Amino acid sequence: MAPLLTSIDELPTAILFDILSRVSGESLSQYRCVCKHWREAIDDSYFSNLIHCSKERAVLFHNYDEEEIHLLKIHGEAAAQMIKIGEFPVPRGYAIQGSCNGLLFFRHRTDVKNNGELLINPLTKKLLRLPRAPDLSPDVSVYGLGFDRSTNTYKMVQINAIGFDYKTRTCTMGARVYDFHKRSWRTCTAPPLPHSAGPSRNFVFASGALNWFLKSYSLSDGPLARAMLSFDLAKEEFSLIPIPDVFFECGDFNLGTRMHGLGGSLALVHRLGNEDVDLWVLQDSTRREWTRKYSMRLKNNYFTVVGAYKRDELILRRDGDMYLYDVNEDRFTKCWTGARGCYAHFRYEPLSLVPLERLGDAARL
Amino acid sequence: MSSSSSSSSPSCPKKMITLKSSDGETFEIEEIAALQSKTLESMIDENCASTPVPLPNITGKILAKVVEYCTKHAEVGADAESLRAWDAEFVSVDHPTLFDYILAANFLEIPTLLNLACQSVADMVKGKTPDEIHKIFNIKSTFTPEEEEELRRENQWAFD
Repeated sequence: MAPLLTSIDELPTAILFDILSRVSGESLSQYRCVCKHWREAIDDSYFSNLIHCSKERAVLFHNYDEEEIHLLKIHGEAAAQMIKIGEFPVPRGYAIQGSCNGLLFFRHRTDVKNNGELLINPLTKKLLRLPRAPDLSPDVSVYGLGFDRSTNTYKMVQINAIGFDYKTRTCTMGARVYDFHKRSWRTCTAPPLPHSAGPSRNFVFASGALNWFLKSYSLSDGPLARAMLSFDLAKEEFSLIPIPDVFFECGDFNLGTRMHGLGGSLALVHRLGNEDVDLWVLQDSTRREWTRKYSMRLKNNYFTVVGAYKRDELILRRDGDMYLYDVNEDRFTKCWTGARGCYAHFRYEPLSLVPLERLGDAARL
Repeated sequence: MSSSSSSSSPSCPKKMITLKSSDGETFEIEEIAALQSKTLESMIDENCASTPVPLPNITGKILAKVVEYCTKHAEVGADAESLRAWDAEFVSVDHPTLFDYILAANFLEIPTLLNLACQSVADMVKGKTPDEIHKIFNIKSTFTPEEEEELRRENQWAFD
């Protein structure tokens, strides 16, 4: 008797998803041209954030001098070396302000008036020019872009000061949300800001929310406020997340405090004066409870945390080099040697195949 | 004669259930082996497996192999290494048969077989160019020449 089917193409879509989910991210993007069924399966699963957002990751290293981004992947279990898997030029003058599901949010470093924000998928090398809320001035706007799992929608938030009271030194804020599914803006309740503080430009998408540090705007690089601003993407509500008191106990911590999205959760890296680096994670986002996850005795103070590679294994960077650091064993494994005096920004991101076409008129980089 | 401490007790007959393929062939399978199929497991629980279970979308040829798989995996004391080798041998078949295994495992809800067969197909896909995929899996591209050209240009980034 003849077999039921002769072609893989006739397999139910759910099974095709299963099979394709076992194939690596980079090669999967080329399979979009095999046939319509495959293209739909690949685009659909990525867009729904089903499969490839947490599986494959790469280190993105934005070399500011060369205006290029290189993608590096950790290769090989034992030796754990990084190999370059691709690169692309960055539009002149732009820097990454945050990311979501492997999509990179770029903002112009000096001239925001004439250069709009961009969303780039570094794997497919597609670029999307992002819209701006029509009634807010872009000069002093702060943005965030995230994914709302409850509605399967990407959303962008634009926060702006729409008024300033010199007497009380408080800002009236306006906030707008752009829904990529509806392709429209709507207003949402302005964020509650503590006295004399405004959100910083960089955002971190973690735990279903967009998060920004708050800085005092009396000084350009002023002290951090004691709380962070957070925007719940599903509820479309702002709230404040208090930062653990210990961060404010030792001297000038601002230079060494960074926010991360580590394994989906919000994390704070705190460099204490004495070469110790603590990593705190927001384990319980509803109760706003932070846990000190790691207390690392790093040999010198020049290490920065790039990302979490495995459980208890972090990717650290020092100048142009990268290391895998086993927290429990206190062991460094050098996995990348870069240039000295490297003016660059490192991130650890999932390889995303999110088709930017679904979010707007995407173009090739 | 020394008494043996292992193997099945002769006084307790193994409970068997009968499966019937789409082309009318019947196969007997031990109940314990059948429990690997979630579909059959629920039937056994609800006492619907006393008469031959009709499986209208699985042919005799495939059903025989599925029974073989389940029986092998229900064996006690098989070591992991030899089971892995047996599994590898089991999926060394032509594509149409492999797809039939997938469909059967999907219908009967046998997660281990589904995983094995899907991984096997994924391994065949890995590292192949779209052209090779067309040939190996006999897929017809359903794009127009213009669409195909556009897609090829889009995906040329590869590994610079």
